[in-house]
Amino acid sequence: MNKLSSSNEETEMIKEVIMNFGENEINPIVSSIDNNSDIPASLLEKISELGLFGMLGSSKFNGAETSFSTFIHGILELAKYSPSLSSLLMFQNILSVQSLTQFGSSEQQERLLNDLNTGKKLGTAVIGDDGSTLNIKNINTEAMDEGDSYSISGTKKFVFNGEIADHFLVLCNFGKDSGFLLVEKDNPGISIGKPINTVGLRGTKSAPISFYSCSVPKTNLIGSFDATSKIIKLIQECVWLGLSAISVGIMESSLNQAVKYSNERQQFSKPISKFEAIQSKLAGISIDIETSTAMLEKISLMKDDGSDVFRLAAITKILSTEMSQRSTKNALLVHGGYGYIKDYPIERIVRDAETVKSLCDLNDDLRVLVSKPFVD
Amino acid sequence: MPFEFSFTDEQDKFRRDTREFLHSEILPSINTYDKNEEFPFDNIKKMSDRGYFGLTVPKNYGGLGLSKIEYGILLEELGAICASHATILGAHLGLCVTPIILYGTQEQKNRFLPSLSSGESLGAFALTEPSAGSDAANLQTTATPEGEDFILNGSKIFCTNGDHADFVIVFAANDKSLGPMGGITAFIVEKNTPGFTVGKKEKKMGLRASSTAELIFENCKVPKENILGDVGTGFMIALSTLDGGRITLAVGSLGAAQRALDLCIDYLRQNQSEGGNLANRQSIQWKLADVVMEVYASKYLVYNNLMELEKYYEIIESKEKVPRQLRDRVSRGSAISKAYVSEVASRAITRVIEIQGILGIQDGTEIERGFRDSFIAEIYEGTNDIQRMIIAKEILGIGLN
Repeated sequence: MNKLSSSNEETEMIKEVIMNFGENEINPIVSSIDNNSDIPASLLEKISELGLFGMLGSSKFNGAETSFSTFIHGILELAKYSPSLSSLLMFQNILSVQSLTQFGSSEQQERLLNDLNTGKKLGTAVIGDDGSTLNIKNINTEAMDEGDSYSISGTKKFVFNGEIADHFLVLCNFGKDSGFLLVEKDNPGISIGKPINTVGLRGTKSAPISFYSCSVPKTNLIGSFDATSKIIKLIQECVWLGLSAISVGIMESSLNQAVKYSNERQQFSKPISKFEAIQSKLAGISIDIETSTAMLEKISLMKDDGSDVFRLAAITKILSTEMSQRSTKNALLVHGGYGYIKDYPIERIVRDAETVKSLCDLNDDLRVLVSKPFVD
Repeated sequence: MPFEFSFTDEQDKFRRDTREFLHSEILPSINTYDKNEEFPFDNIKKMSDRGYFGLTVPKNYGGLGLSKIEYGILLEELGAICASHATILGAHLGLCVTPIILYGTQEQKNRFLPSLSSGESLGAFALTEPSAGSDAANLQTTATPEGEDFILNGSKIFCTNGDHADFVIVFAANDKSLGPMGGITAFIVEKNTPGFTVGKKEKKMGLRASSTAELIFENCKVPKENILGDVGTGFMIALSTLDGGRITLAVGSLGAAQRALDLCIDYLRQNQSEGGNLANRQSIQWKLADVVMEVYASKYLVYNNLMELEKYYEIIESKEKVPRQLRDRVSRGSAISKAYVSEVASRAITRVIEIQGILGIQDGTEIERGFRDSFIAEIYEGTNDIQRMIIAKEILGIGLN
């Protein structure tokens, strides 16, 4: 499974399952997901039958237990159909399922993982107060020791899946240490704010979350304080690769749309695909797809092999989100005026790409990280 | 080629007054119109009460009689707060009123200009068809003479203001065998003319407060006195009108770029007041500097183009022969302005989003709306690919055919 080749059986199987599901179940409603800012519950139920909520979960708790690279391929394939749905599942798997599978206590695992892996419950995690994963120096979400429990106060401004999650892994400042506390959505003292709708990924449900002397048992600490930095690092590198996978999937769908349109659309008595200016745009998108796919596949397989991919994951995220932004834009421009109207999916694809690029960490912050080995 | 440009004191005051009015009276309601995809009649009334809808119309027809520079200032300030409003005004004044001033008969000017200037009537321009987008000369809408009338048949798409306009400049082929130069005629078609109906209204990514409609002509009888210019001169009228339209689009984009910059500066100041340090980050400073450079260059570019446009239109209006060199320069200049500044605006917004992150593109923010609005400027009134083709062929001396 961990050979440096992406075409193993597990990956191919998941891709095919998602492709069939995408064509039959997602495509017919993808524009209504965007228009209504909602992924229908019926679609999520069907997704849970495919095991996609717990791709990274262990089979012991009904997870699919795929390799990381298979997971990445699944997320990429889903993003071709619905980046909103793909994002929801990517964050569920990485923030909640994987964190608890790798760092949760056996009590936490027994209690939560069955429902998480099967999609009966959704979970999320939040690191920086501003919604980033890198900004961990200034955490003002504080946890006070109150004997048997911790009392949390503070605000996380942007929590992905925040509006729909049943529980949250919240990075808190404990004074000397920092750690993740598990908080249930109906815990007293938690307040889920007005949902944050953004220009794209409109099917997703992010929200700010505030804690007012929110008291949770001490057993809700994830791992130990010593594990916190490992949990953060795992989330960071996986989220960057996950966002990269969504970006590549988005680019692929934009290329499909641009190719289809440019072969159908006739101007000056020929399909516009015959013009070099259009060919150059199509070629550019294709170059971006091939480049970012190669990078993403390589890094995912390296991760499965146990290599440290932290910095490479940051590079992949910068590369693929920026390529996705320019490629989807060029795919829109290929459509001319038709690219701007809602009869064609490309305008939604462009909005989704920009949103994925803006999620979590700013590419400038990642560039600082990437440059670190070169700076004394 | 003029090397020096400065605004007069009156023009600076006009800009200050315009900005103050737009920010206090128009800006607060824009997000609601955008969200509901609603045509902003109230705002149009407020703007026309200040004479904006007849800004460049001579005073004797009820306009303000101001120059292209003031028109540029108005569209720059309007483009800063809302591309939809700038587009509504640009389609009305630049694409409908202007060709009537340039090519209309005395009788037509008396008939149409007063109500268009006061904003009582709204204007539109209909060239694009399903099979005539970039290939604008490939018109399928026909105009067949019948006694004292022409009969129009066909349809137009993507017509800004199309469903609310009282007068639409419609281009139709009177004789396809003559090709675009000689075979196309411009008509002033009045709302409620039998055979003229509004078809599909487009739902769009942005420009959601402006309307974009299909116009359908079925045996639509238009009297000969509504022909703009002469029979067969329609394509020249369209091209010279769009030369002006493109420059004013560029001015609107300049406003949008400047606004993105201003909003980003506000964001960084806010961050500073909360103890943040973003303004001292070089990654952010460099991005802002890039925007400032491009905005600075754009400003000289578009106002220089507007001065040339003013001369060009004065000659057309006087019915004298336009020097070929001037026409080519204005045409190339407008292509350069439109393509360059629309891309400057898009880059500015992208950079600002890169600085502000996900919370910068929340619903209800100007940057979110600006992002959705930005794409169309690279597409309408000739895609930037078409502008590049015009620029390159003109510079190489290759005919456009």
